Amino acid sequence: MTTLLDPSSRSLVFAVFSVFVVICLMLCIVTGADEDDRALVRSDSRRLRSWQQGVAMGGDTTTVATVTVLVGMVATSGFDGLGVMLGSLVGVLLLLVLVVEPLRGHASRTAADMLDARGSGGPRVRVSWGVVTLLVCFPLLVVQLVVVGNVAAALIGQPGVRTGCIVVIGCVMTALAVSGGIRGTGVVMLAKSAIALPVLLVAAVLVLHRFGWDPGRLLDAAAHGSGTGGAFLRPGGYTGEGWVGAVNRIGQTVGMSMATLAMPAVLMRAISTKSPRGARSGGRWMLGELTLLYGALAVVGVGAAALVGGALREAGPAAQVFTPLMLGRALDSGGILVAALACVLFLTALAAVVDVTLAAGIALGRDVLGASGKADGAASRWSAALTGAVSSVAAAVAADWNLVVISTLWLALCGAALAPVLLYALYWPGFTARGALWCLWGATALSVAALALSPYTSGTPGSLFPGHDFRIWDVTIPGLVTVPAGFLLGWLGSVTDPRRAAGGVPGAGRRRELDTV
Amino acid sequence: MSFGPQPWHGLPPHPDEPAAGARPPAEHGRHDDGEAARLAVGLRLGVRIAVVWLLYVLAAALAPDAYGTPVAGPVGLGVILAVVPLAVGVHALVVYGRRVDRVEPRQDDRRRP
Repeated sequence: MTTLLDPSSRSLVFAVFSVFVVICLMLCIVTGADEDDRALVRSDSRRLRSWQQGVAMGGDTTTVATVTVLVGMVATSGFDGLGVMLGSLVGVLLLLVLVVEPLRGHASRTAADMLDARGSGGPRVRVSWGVVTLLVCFPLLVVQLVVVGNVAAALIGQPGVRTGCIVVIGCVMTALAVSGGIRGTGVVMLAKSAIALPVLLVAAVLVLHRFGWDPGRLLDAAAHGSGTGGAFLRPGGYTGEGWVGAVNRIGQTVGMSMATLAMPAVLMRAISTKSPRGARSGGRWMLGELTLLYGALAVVGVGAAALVGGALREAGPAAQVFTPLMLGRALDSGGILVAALACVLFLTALAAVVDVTLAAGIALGRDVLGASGKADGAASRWSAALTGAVSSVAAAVAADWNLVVISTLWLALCGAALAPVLLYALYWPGFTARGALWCLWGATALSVAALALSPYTSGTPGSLFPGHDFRIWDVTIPGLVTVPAGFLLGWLGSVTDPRRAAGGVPGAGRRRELDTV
Repeated sequence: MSFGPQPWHGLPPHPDEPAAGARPPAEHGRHDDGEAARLAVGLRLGVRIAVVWLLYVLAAALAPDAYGTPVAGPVGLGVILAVVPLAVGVHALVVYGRRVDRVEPRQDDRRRP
């Protein structure tokens, strides 16, 4: 991977990235929070407009893993990679129809406020929601930092500097999140989208141009280049065959939709819009941006299979993160497209990581610490700084781990624990605090156990512990089990709640109380 | 961009108006009614999207060979059918906006003296 960029292109990439970082820092300081805690979570005086929040929400859904690993999955597995993209888009549609507007109507600063307002909250639920949100955000941060660290080290041409790259990017993102607050990070996300979307669209156009604007020719070449032939557009390339493959496929696509429904950074943005109607309007912008982006990424992935499929197969799964760059090299030997795509990877990682850091900081400062009354004006800010520092250290430590396990973990937690609670609280008046607690902790425990006992953790050469074998099943994507289990636990906890039988409505009116904190 | 409450251009938004002198429902009761109506609209459309999506996913899981059948050149049946959940979702989103907007003016209208 050391030949991805020639020295002049390398200098260009790092110059553009450095300029972007400096401009973003300035924007964060100029537009950032100026009213302590309230402005960090939601800026009342100078909010972003709805379309700006919508574009930022789209950016939150697009992590650096989407631009690298998912494109690599499309290139090597075909249909299964496209299915994940489709699942994410359907998840966005469900988010817009089911969640965004009522959530904005009920939540003043975090989604836990909505649980209070709908009568299924309380201090314990708030702390639990905050902790599970942190459990979702940390793996997401670690994965993104490791991916961008690997890409940076490969571009520099010295794998030994990976840890340094992770730490530097971690420090930058922490500074942006702490100084920018919800408004500053939104501006960063807008700047990222303004660069990333056109570059990816240009790459997609170049791919189509290379194949004479004939999708049939492109797909034929992809099927041939990927080495899978006719199976390229058939389910099973990544998820496997038989009943295990079927369970994996359902878990992958449904789990992706459910996870998209409850991503903490997206919920944070939805809550910070001007009004419920503004949240809906922003959601449409989000959908438009993601449709364009996923369309471009699908073409880029299929183009990579057609043009560099053989090289990807030879390089192995670890090279999937370099798929866009390898395609850029194949499309433009001059290096400009590779440099532009490398910039897109860096900027995507930076912007997405900044927003997730902020969401994690708000969860820690407002939900975990705030539930016990310890939150003051600077709590969320310090929490964001702490989150950034810890995740940078964790990313440096976990850089050699199997990242698929960590990615699957956050997706499973998000889809099985957070999404059911969110939907029950909005749509089922009988949902209680006990149901929320059972769902949050039960689904979390089940997701961790399902992954711990899967081949991702032990029993295969690619496992976290290849020397041990304590797997009990061969399913690697447990969404088919964990998501229904999360719903079941929420229902069971609520219907067996003695307070519900007595007609008690816990937590009503707490929203107004929290607004005054 | 909002310019405040817009005039109603359609049919009378609420045909069964309360009789003169009848006591209007309490403010929080009306608010709850509107909220429940909006949530019901979202729930119905969300369930519609979810059911279509689950059917697509179940078919992909249980009959992968059928999804790989080429129907338009090298393009398989699964890729063509992927349009269905997306189309249903986008249609639901458009309908959601229209129905929720219809619920909101009705609430505003009922609040007039």
